[in-house]
Amino acid sequence: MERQGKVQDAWIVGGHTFSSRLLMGTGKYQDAETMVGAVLASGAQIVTVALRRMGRIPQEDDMLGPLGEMKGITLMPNTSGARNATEAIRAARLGRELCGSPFVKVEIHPNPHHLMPDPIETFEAAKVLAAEGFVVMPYMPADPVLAKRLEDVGCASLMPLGSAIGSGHGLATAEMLRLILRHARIPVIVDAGLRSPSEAAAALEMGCDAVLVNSAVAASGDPIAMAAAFAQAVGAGRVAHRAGLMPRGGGTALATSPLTAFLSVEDA
Amino acid sequence: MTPQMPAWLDPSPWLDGRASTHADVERALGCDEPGPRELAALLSPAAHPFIEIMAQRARALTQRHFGRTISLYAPLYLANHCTSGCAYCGFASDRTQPRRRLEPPEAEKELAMLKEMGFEEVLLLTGERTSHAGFDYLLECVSLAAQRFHAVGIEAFPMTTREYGLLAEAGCSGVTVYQETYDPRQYDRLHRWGPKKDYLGRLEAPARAMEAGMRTVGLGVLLGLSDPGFDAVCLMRHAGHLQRIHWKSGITLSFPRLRPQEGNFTALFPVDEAWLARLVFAFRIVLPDVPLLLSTRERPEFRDGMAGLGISKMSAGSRTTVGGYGGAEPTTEGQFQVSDKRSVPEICAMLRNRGLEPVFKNWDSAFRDASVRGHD
Amino acid sequence: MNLVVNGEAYVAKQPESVAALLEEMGIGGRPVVVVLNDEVVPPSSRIACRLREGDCVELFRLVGGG
Repeated sequence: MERQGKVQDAWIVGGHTFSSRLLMGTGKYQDAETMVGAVLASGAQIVTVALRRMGRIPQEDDMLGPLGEMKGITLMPNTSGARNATEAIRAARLGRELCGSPFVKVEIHPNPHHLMPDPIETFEAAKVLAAEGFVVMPYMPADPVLAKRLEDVGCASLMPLGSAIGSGHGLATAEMLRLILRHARIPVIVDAGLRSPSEAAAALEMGCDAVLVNSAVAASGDPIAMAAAFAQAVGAGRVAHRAGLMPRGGGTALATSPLTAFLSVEDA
Repeated sequence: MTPQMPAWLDPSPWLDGRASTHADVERALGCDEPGPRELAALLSPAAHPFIEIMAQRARALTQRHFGRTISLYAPLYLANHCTSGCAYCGFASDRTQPRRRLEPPEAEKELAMLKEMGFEEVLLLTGERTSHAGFDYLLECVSLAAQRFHAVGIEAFPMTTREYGLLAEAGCSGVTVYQETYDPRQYDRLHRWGPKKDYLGRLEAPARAMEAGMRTVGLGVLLGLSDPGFDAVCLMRHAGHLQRIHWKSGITLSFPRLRPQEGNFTALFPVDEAWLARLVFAFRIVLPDVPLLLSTRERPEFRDGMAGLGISKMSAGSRTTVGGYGGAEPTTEGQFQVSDKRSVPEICAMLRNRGLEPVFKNWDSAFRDASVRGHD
Repeated sequence: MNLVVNGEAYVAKQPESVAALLEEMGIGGRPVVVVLNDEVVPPSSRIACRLREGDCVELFRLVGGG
């Protein structure tokens, strides 16, 4: 039976329309077969890839071969590895050469341990790349002011983190995400830190346009099954958001001396 | 030719014609991120029984975002010259009343009086742009006021971004431009002639002020001109639009209500106190961190009751004649009738009695002047 | 021919063109960005693009990433 939860409404980023609100990363998988299987099971239409300076890759390690041939998938190079704007800009240009798409995920984390994004380098890189016509999707701290600055310089979307990459701490930044969502003019995609499909659903229920998951699928017990679960969760969260959650209850007891007693019945 | 509402303003997606129900109001009150639809529900007849609950929610939110304080400011009418023909206004060009402007020395006297009364924030008002009281005159008055007051606002006439920039450099920190009504047809009808007939020019003025770097813009509607529910939702849309784009500036909202004044224009859509109160509560609920203003148009008991229940800022001891603080009998008639004639000390005593602290200075001209002199 | 490929010394046996070098390295038709002395060599130019002694070649491949 076709469940209504799987029907998703389209969203637009950088002038391109997508129906899937689940983006997938391709890192940390044990082999290409699992990775491809997970991407297929996820229904993702935007898939991030990284760029490395290397020559020959043995057949069995060549992860991206099959992905490049799949229909309906937009490869989005990330600039991961770059430690500053200059390196990220170079990586973006090389990535565009390779993938042929204008999409780029600007990802600049100078500290290789916690992998938190550098807001200043990210802003500088985004500014340059947006001016060069890239569809800039910046991975960023969940900061509402930075979000507006990135919008102002022409980013196509915002990708605030839910929590640190690989931490599995879910939507630790929920309050900040709400502030970003309130005044956002471009799509908001929660990226990093999600662990469970329910967290992905919560992100969509909150009003986020999409989520990106990588570790949560790649490091799960059964990545292909988990990818499918995330797809269902994202769909459910989106439908729930559009349906409108029931109101929060509580806090409506009436005081003994009403605050509104001063109101006159007739106009003065 | 009736002007068109821009898409960003058009409230029709949220006003679907269906009357709000009790359940809609409950949903609105329990909504995490209330929007125009929720505002419409809170303003509907179905929400009238919820007024006390809304008042409690408004008080809690006001305390959270503004503390137990009320900001006080004084309006100073610099001139009542006007060439526009707004049907509802005491300054309309077809109304016979003496017209004059404060010459700079007079303005200085009035400003000194206001400073004596304890004010640190002044709002300078004029009618529409005229040769008697145009941009250069206003710029000079702003400079005079900025020397004495920490916050100087203007409520005058729509200007260009360049003009707003010059005013900001001269020390102006806020610009108030009420759209009066967002209904294009009503707007066209009521603004019979003159520069104010330009609906879109006026609508875009706050954005230009923000572009020019003004710290705050004041938006508002004159209740009674059009369907107040419609105007309220449009006001919320306007506020949201500006906040999305001009995120470095702040906004404030005000809901002046048509009261009797010379010329006796009768409100076409009269709004009673209970509805105005509910409007204030509703805006506090849907926009928890936006300052809401209440003027001396309203009677003392109403102002007392509303202070802290959503209202975070009030004018006090107001004169709506040209000048008028100097002690001499005013030679012009007021733009509107002041209902709350209490002095500043009386207002402060009332506020303290209600557990609210009057605040005169919310910001320091030292910050303003640092950028004016290019010290950043 | 002595080249520098991806930052390391490399002696090319088939240095007639960039395309030939890729073939020799076993990359062949796989997706790769070729940067020769800081200039990108698009796929259409690789057969015609000649190599010279001491040229710096950088090859970039897509790999998995988040």
